[in-house]
Amino acid sequence: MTVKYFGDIRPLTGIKEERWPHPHPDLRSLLNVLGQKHAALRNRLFEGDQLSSTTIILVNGRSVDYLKGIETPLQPDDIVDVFPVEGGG
Amino acid sequence: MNGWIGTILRIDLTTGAVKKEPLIKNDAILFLGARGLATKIFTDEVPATVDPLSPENKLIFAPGPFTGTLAPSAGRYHVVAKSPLTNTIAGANSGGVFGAAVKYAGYDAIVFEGKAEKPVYVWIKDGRVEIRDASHLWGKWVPDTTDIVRSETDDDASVACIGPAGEKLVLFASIQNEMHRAAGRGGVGAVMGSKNLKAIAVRGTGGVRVADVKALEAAIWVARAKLSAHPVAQGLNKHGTDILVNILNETGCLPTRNYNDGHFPTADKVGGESLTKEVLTRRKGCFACVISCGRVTRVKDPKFAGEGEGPEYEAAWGYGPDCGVDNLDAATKANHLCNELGLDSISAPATIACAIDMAESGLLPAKDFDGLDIRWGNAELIVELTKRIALRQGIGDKLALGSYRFAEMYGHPEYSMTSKKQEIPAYDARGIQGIGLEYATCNRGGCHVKGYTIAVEVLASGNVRMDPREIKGKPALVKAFQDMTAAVDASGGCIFGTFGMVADDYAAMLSALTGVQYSAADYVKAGERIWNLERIFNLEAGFTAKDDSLPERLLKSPIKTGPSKGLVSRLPEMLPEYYNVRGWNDQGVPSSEKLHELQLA
Amino acid sequence: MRDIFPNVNFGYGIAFSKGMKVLMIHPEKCTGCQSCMLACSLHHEGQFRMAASRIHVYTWEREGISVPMMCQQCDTAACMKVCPTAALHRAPGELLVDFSQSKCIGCHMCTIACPFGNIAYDAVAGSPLKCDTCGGDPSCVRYCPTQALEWVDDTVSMRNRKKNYAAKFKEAFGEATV
Repeated sequence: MTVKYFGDIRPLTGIKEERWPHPHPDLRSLLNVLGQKHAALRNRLFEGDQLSSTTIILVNGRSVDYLKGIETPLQPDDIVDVFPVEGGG
Repeated sequence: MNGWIGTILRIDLTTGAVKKEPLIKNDAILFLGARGLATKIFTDEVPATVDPLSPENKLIFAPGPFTGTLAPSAGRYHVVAKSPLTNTIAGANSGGVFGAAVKYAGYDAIVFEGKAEKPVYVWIKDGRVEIRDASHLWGKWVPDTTDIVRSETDDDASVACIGPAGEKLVLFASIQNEMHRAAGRGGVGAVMGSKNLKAIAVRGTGGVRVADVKALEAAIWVARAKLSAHPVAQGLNKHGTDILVNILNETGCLPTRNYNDGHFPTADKVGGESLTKEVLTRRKGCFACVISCGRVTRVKDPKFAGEGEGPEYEAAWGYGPDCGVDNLDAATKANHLCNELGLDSISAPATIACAIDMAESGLLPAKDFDGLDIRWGNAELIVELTKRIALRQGIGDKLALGSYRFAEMYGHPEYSMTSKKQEIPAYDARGIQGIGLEYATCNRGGCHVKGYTIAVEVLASGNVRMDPREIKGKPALVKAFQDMTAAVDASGGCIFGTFGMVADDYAAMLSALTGVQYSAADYVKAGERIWNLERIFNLEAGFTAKDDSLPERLLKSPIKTGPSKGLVSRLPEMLPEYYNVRGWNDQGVPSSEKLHELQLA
Repeated sequence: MRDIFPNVNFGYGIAFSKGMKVLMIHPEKCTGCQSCMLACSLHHEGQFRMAASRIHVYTWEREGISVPMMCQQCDTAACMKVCPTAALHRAPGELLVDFSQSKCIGCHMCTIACPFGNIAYDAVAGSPLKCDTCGGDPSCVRYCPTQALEWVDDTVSMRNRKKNYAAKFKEAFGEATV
């Protein structure tokens, strides 16, 4: 599993991406562990026990809003992207 | 008048006659200003079949009622003409200071007619208008032109000008103000060049009156608070528009190598995060802007050295993944050149990408290569071709006609990624359905910004999220964005203000400023009115429903790699419903009920 | 100066009365948006008229640098020195170089004397344009979106910072003594 960080999420982890060798059954359990590893990241991931509205999380390029949200199941070779809500034109 | 000034300035470049006319209040109320007012004047006066590069085309510069006030991020102006690239109505929007200067000089619009016998520039200082010889400026690039014109007029003057590209009638030449700000799309720079008009310098000591200062200030502070709390607006300040590269790429919707694919593995190298780290020197803002998305940039690598502004997302995409390039320095340099030479930084690289695609596909004879190494990923090439296009040298002379005419010349127009002959930008419509409908139906040809559904299909702006792959609800979504954008354009606002402000905010400020009461519905309706007026012009110019289209590649060739692999645009399924929600018949013609409703009949 | 204004302190490192504030400029944060100029003219005239602004933003487009400039309320104010009628004056213990329209004869000497060009003449209003700090709540500071303008306590360290900035402008514009 690969986790990638973008925009102003990057400074919160200090890295662009990391390999995550431990399989996780779903997004919630992965984010819990990430939030523990990168303390500054935690409140960008969660609002209470729900997904934070300040981020967009993609699993294999699909926003989890159109999968199963924070309960989205994960496979060992998935790519998980953590984006801040930002914009352009 | 409050908000508006009350005067239209008309300059006939053939005769040198200068006239001032009163602004018709009812036009102002219905069409607001800028894009709306200029389109109303243009469509009233110019036949839709006019030849865009003839003296009979008109070139109108118009700020909006907000322009020149503290309405946040609302200091813009619009340029309207008939486009030589698309033959539709052209409407190019720009920031900087020029729009405000026009208001302070005392005008709601400047209408240029005819053609000067020799190159001229126009100097407007309040009520005084001079048409001056510009033969010493002809051939000069935008920065030098700006400096020289200021030195001859006023250090505080705002200057809008064309570079060599506009002079040489490159069909996607831009008009630049404050050097780095562009009225970019549709070839309005070529129209200006066709009139032998090199530059306009404006300085004004007048002001913009306010109907209700207290109410306006209150509405402004509400709006400003919303903008400072909005993550997209804040993201734009931090990283600029180029922050988009990665999210588009990670979703597999970053058009790559002329839309041959939708995913580019090294995209991060030209994204906003890299831009901030490597070439950004400081942030810049347009007039009265609280977002400041502008990027002042400098490249140190001697091969691509230079200073300027940008690249924005579209330019970084165009000179990056679209050409198979991942060199940020080269993309930045190419964008600097677009500003210095006066070129649309979307059509220029997209046209280059088309040429590369054709060369790589063996469709361009080697003798036409100019001895250049035309292939994907060649960073030096994109810089060199940009110059040759602007100066119309060698293959640049043909590329200057845009990708459609270029590809057609070699018998393969299907290689041109355009709608109505204007290059479509940086969001792969095969993976994002709504933006594809916008590209196909936009009144000025392939364009994203006049109906920026990306805000909800990709960016979760305002926490509204719609699945990019779905078509349900997209026609209504596209209409809503198109109408609101037209209203924002027409009032002088920057659409980035809509990351935070909604129609109620705009209506409240407009009412307090002008003393004319607008509800949110009135405001959006003005936008719908403008959209329909532009549509009617295009229909009279000969466009039909079959021109509301996308390149075959987007309809028939699925994305090859990445997360959106296998997808195509479902435009044909969305178009009938789009016409329906717009109140048009199945040929895309506004019904007479709709026209009456909009007070256009 | 001391013989004309015997009660005013001219030293550096001397704090004035409690609660005094000064306008600080941070040009590196300026984006060139000119909101300050709009705020100034709205406050003073109730309309948006840049030519009436007491603050001016200079932008160098090639370098992409913008610098807001307004009256520095100089300790040794050249404008006060040359004003023949004391229309420009400073009340004892105050930081503000104040202006009385009733005493102004429109001679323009102040606009010539200011080494920074921070006092201009408004032909429409028929008077010099000079920052008056909006009676102690500067509008420009409120409207600046990037805090490039700050309204800060007048302390020893702040005054020295301000003087250092003023000195940079002096070098940049290469004119008289402060």
